[in-house]
Formats: sequence, structure tokens, C-alpha cells
Amino acid sequence: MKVLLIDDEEDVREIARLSLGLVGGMEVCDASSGREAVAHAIRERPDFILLDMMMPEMDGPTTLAALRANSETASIPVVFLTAKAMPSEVERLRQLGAIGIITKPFDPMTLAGEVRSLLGR
Amino acid sequence: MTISSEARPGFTPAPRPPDEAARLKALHSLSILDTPAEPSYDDLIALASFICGVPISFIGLMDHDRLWFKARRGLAEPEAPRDLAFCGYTILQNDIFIVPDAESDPRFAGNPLVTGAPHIRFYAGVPLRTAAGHNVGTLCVVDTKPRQLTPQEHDALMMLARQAAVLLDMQRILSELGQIATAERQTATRLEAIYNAATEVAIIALAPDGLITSFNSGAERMLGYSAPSLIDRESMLLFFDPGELHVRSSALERVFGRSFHGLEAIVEYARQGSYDHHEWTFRHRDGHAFFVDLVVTAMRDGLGAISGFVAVAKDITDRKRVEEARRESEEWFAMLSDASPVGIFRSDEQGHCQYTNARYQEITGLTLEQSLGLGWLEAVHPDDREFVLATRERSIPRGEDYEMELRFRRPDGATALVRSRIRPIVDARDQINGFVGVVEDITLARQAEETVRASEQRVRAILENMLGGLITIDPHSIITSVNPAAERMFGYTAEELVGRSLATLVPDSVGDKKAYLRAGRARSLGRVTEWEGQRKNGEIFPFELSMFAFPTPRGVELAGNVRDISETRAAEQAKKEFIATVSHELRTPLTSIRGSLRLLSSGVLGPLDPEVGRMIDIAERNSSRLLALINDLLDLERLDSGRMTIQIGDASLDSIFRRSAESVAAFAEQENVPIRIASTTEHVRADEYRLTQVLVNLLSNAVKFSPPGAAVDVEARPKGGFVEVRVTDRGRGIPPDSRNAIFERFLQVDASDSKTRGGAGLGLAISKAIIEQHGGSIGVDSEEGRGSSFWFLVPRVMKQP
Repeated sequence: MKVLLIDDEEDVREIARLSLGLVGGMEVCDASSGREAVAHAIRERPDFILLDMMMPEMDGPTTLAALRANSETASIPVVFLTAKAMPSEVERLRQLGAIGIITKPFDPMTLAGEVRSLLGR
Repeated sequence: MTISSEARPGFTPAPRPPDEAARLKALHSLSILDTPAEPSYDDLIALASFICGVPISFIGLMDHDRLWFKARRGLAEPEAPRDLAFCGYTILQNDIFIVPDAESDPRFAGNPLVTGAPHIRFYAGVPLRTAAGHNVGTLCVVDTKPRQLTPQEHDALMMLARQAAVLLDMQRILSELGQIATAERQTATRLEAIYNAATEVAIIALAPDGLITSFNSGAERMLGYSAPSLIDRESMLLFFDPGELHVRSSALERVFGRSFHGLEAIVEYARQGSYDHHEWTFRHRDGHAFFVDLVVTAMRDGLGAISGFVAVAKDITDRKRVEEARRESEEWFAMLSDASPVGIFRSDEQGHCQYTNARYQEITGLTLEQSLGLGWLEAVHPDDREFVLATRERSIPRGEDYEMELRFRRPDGATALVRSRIRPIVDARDQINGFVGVVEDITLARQAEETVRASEQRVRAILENMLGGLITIDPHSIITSVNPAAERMFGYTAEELVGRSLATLVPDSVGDKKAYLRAGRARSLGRVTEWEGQRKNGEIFPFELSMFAFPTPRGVELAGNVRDISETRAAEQAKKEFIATVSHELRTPLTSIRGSLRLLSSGVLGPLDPEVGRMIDIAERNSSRLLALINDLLDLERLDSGRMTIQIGDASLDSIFRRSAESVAAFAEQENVPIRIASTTEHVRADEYRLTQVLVNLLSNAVKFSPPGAAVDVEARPKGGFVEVRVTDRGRGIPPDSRNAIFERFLQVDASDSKTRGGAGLGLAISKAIIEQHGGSIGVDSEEGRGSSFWFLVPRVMKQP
């Protein structure tokens, strides 16, 4: 399983890479901004995208919209990663087209499992 | 013609007789001078001329400076100057006076009557002597040639002269008789005229016993009786009031020491030679009573005996009525003046006070005596005196009422402020002959006005300077006042708003402005509520409103305190954003820290030295505390801002219990506190996530405060429409006075707990807010030293049958 991780924080990307790759056994590629997301997704063809909500310039929802706007990336499942999530926001983000939300700080030992359960795999 | 004796030698006028004054008086009393000729006198001188054979004869009467001829023969002039008359010598003697030849007599030779016409040469005159002995005139014969009188002629002249004197005496007697008769006739006529003309005065003559003997037309009119019906028939007593007569009799008895009966009382003074003058009540024939002023005098005969009385009565009913009216009017004035709440005065045209009433004296502090004359001016405050006099001077010429305010300095030292209104008294000739005025003490009224004014100024100052806006409206929502803060807030001036509907300030986006205003009134009376308003520039802004009602003469008005909270709102928004940002910024590094530590402690990155492992445990535990604190702060901010929304649904308590217990399981195990959950089938209407948060909080508290080995129990049971959940520990318990405080923020039972037991003291405050959002309640039962039992109630879902 291949995951595209998009987060502006280098440290968070490092933890998530270890968590998903080392602990979860996934193939991980990553990008540091929403602007790179579409190009990366087209090039890498991930099974899903873990997308940070709060990023400079292009935030999570905008990036999601850009992914949905491109036919090559429109169908890739997206899971949001957020430090602000409230249960009430889950529904709103789902309506944007995300399949789920994982709140920061996440447990690196269970992250891959959570993602798998959201993906239904 | 005056001829002096010196001027003509041979001519000496006769001297005046010694009785000249009496003689002239006697002559004038005859009233004969300048009367027409009479045959009896003419006959006498005709006889004299005939007997003596002379051409001239006459009867002359010697007046003050002339000889007037009552009868004359041979003389053209009716009189001659006294000094030329030979008769001047005749009246000096009682016998005949004869001048045989005037030309040879030195007294007459130069007399013009001798030297000229009628050329007297012979003169013989006999004096005419009245009964009283005065020679008032002469009877004379004159010739133009010298001669002598024969004895017969002499005797005849003497007889003729006596007859002439008798004629003169008779003349006097007749004259006197005539005068008396005329006077008597005139008096009688006059009296009768008075008697009959006195229609307004009753004149009643009485016999000595009081019987009426005459009754004039005035009496008939006054008393209603005809004279014939009374005269010689009725007594004057008929008209009197017996009671009054009795009173009068008694009074006279005291004076004279004897008793009086009937009319005696009214005639006593007349009887004594004086008269009785008294006021009486008379009775008219028709029975009505009226007042008379009665004078009674006595009539006496030639010997002084009383022949009767005359009673003269005048109807004084009108006068009495006028007097009575005046007396009543004066009494009225005195009463009004005494009772008057205003001071009253009267002064002459110079301002000298003649009258002041009691209130005037009270206001000015002056006695009656002090207030009279110019005393009042003395009492006027020195600073006002000039003004008072100037106002007076200015106003008098107009002849109209004038008003002024002045101060009196009372003797007790107090100052009385009075308003005085003064009216000139103008007489029939438009002359001002005095003033009347009223003075009103306005000291207290002015003080009250000033107090009110000061109070108004204070209120105005407060209203104008207060930070909050204040708008008042009448019962129809018409704006009646707007303070400057409200003007600034809404961007209108007070002039633009007063008189307009409050709807002016309601946003245009509100469909039914009236309903909006009604709601505002209903919800904001006595409470602070939030609304949106529209400024003049169209900007919509939030404000706080608190209304109160207050009574005014126009009805109950409402006032609204308004506070623009747009800035507060902006600040709140900024705070929220700040907290959200901060929490995000804190969570992001925490993600990295916790992630790193977890990866290390899990061993996936390689085995750890035990010491390193312990250190990583410490770091992980503290990062958990930090995270919990951040989460609590975020929750609290959401609760405060009302942004914490709960998603109510059907939640299984059993599931919530188990998940909560799992959350604290590690901590409980570490503390060696077993958690015992009583299984339940209850379902509640709740946000599962939030209710779990509450239960986790209560469980971790219970574990935290339990001694090792003491179990914590969780149980649920239905209670009416709610389910009660209890978490019971066996810890140290909570003192009674802290049991409510622990649900407040940042409060723990013991301040040291935050360090030794961890937590910021926010958990219970958050739990309380969450439970209340569910419509439930939360509390604690505790016994110190024995433990605590925290409970909460949430709405129960009834099981389907």
C-alpha cells in the first residue's frame, strides 16, 4: 500500500514516515505543501493521501479541492490530519470529500491501523 | 352841586342836628323817600299856599345830603341840595323858622337859591316831628319878596305841619304793619311748602298725649296710612315696636331714676326743652318693618306751656342696608385678609404703607407698626432697595399693575424672597391716590426650583457623560431622548431621532420591525440581552440592551441602556483565533515529541537501555499532561464562546462506561485502584464523545484521590426521565464548603493538589458545562474521610416495548 503524506512540518513528516513505513509496512512518499500535492499524486499514484489541514499558502481543504479537480487524482481517498479537529468538524470535512480525520498528536504505533480501518482494508 | 361857605360870602350852611344818625334812621324807617306824590300831602301845601298867599310851598324830607320834596308847589326840581336848603336850620329847632328877607340875612344872602332861581327872599318853615321826637322834614312857604307872617298865618302853618307829622307817623305804622304781614305770609307759605314738599320725610304733629294731630304726605307715603284715617284717632304708638320702646324706656329709667310708659320715652327730652333723636324700627301699614331716624321736638304756646309735639322721621332703611353691606364687606375683607396665604398691603401714592395683613407681617418679619409708613422699605434687603424704588418710579406713570421680585431681610436674620404684584388705585379723575398689592413668599419655591434644576443638571451631566448609550421611548416606541453616547453609537444626532420611531435603529434586514421591538421590550426589561442595530451609515452592529420602565407625566416611558459590543465581539473573535492558533501551534510540536517518544518506547527503533526507557517514560507522561491541559483549555474556550456544539443521539451507557474505563485503565493500574463497573442496559440522549469525556474526568479524579487498593465504583440507575450515573471513591472526601466550589474553574480542594495530583482544575468545570448542555445536572455527595460520590443526570431514552 502506497501513501502520499502532505504536511508542512518536516518533523511530523519524519514521525509519520516511520509510523506508516516502519510500523505499518506501507510505502511512503511525502510533500511539504499543497502546491506539490497534485504533481506528486500524479507521479506517485498513491493508494491514499494523508493531508494536513493547516498549511501555509494552500491549506488542506484547498488542496483537496485541487486534487478533486484533477481527473487523475480525483478518486484518490484522502484522510485529513489535523490539530484542531472537533467531532463536529468531521462531518464537514467528509462533505469536502475526505474519508476520515486523524487528530494530532497521533499515536505512531496505531496510525497505520487507523488509516487502514478508515480505508476499510 | 357842592358849594363851600368860604367860596361865597354871605352864605352859611346849617350844621347837622345832634340826633342826626337817629333822625336819618327814623326817616328811612318811614319808607317814604322817592315815593310818588300823594293827595293828602299835596292838599296840605295847597292849603298853606292859599292861606299865606305865596307862590311856593312844599313838604320836604331831610335826607343825608339832599332835601327831597314829598309835595311841592312852585318848584321845578324834586329835590334840592341839603347845604343850600334853609330847612337845615328849621330842623335844628322845634319852633317855626322865619327868614323875612334873605338878602339882608348874612346866612343866606349869598345862597344861590337867593342870588339865582327861584330868587328866595322870604322863608317860613315848621319842622315835622315824629312821635319818637325826630325832625325828619319841614312844611314851608316861600316868597320872592320880603314879608312877614300874620299871627293867623303863623297858627295855620303850625296846624298844617302837625297834620303832616301825623300823616308821616301813620305812614310809618302802615309801613311796619305791612312788613309784618308780608313776613308772616311768607313764613306761613314757606312752612306749608316745606310741610307738603317733604314727601321723603314724615312730619307728624302730636297732641301732648300722643294723639296724632297732623300727618303730612311724606308720612302717608312712608307709613302707608292716609292722614284722615289717623288724625285725632290714633296714637303715634301705632308705628313703634313695643319691644324696642321697652328697651328705650328701660334705658331712660336708668338715667332719670323713674319709669316711663308708652310714648313718654320718646318725648321726655323734648319735654325737657331739648329734643329726642333716635333710630327706630317702624311698622308700615302692610306689616313690613323699616328703619327710621326720628327727631321729636315740643311745640309751646305763648306762655311756654307744651301744646304738643312734632315728630320728624326719615326712612334710613337704605342707609342701614348700605351700612350693613359695608359692614359685611369689611368683615369679609378682614376674614379673607386674615386667612390669606399671601401678604396684602395698601399704601398711599407716596408709598407710605397704611395697611398690612397678618401674612404680610409673617413674611417680612415685621410687626404691624413696623410695616406701616416707610417701615417696609427699611426691611427690604439693602441690595434691592434701589431696584424696588426704580421699578416703582418706572411703573407708576403707566398706571398699570406691575410685578417684581425682591428680598426682605427679616429681623431674625433670614432673607425672604417674595414676588409682589402691585396695582395702582385710580380715582375718578384718573389720579393715582394709592396702591394695593400682594406679596407671596417664594423662598421655598425658589429653593425647590433650584434643587430641581441642580438635580436636572446633575442627571443631565451624568447622561451626557456616561459611556453607555441611553435612549428613552414613550409607550408607542417614539424616541423621547437620546444621550450623546447613543448619538455616537448610532451616528444620528438627538434632533434626528427624537420624535421618530425606535424602528429607525432596527436593521433594514429585519422583516417585521414591530415584532422585533416587541421582543426587545419583552426580553430586555430588567435583563441584559443582545441585539443588532443599524447605524445611520447602514452598518449593522451588535449591542447589549437592558431596559427599565419609569413613570412620567406623559405615561410610563421606557429607557434602554445600550452598549456597543462590536469591539468586544471583535476582541472575543481575536481571542478565539488566538487560542485556536496557540493550541494548534502547541499541538504540532507535541505531535513530534510524542511521536518520537512513542516510537522510541515501542522499541521499533531498537532495544533501549533501562535507564533511557525510564527517562522516555517520564517525558511521555509529562507530554500527556501537557496535551490534556491544552485540550482542556480548548474545550473551555469553546464552552465560553458557545462554539462547543454537542451532537445528541441515542447513546449506550454500557459502551460509554467501558470506553471510559479503558481510557483510565493504565492510570488506575498504576495507582492500584480497581474500577468496578456495574453493567447497565440504560440508554441516554447524549453526545457520546462528550459524555465519555465527563466520565473519564470523574474516573481519573476518583483514581487520583483514592488510596491504593480502594476500589472505584461506577453505576447507573434510572431516575424519572433521567439516568443517574455515580462514580464513588473511598478517598479523603470533600469538605462541605468546597462542594460547590470544585465545579468552578481552576479550583481544587487543596491548592497543592495541582502539583501533587496533576490537572489544572478545569475538568469539573468542563464536565459541569457539558452536562448542563445536555439539560442535566451534576453534583457530589461526600463524607470527609470516607469518600466522595460524584453524580450526574442525563435524559434517559425510554426502552421500546
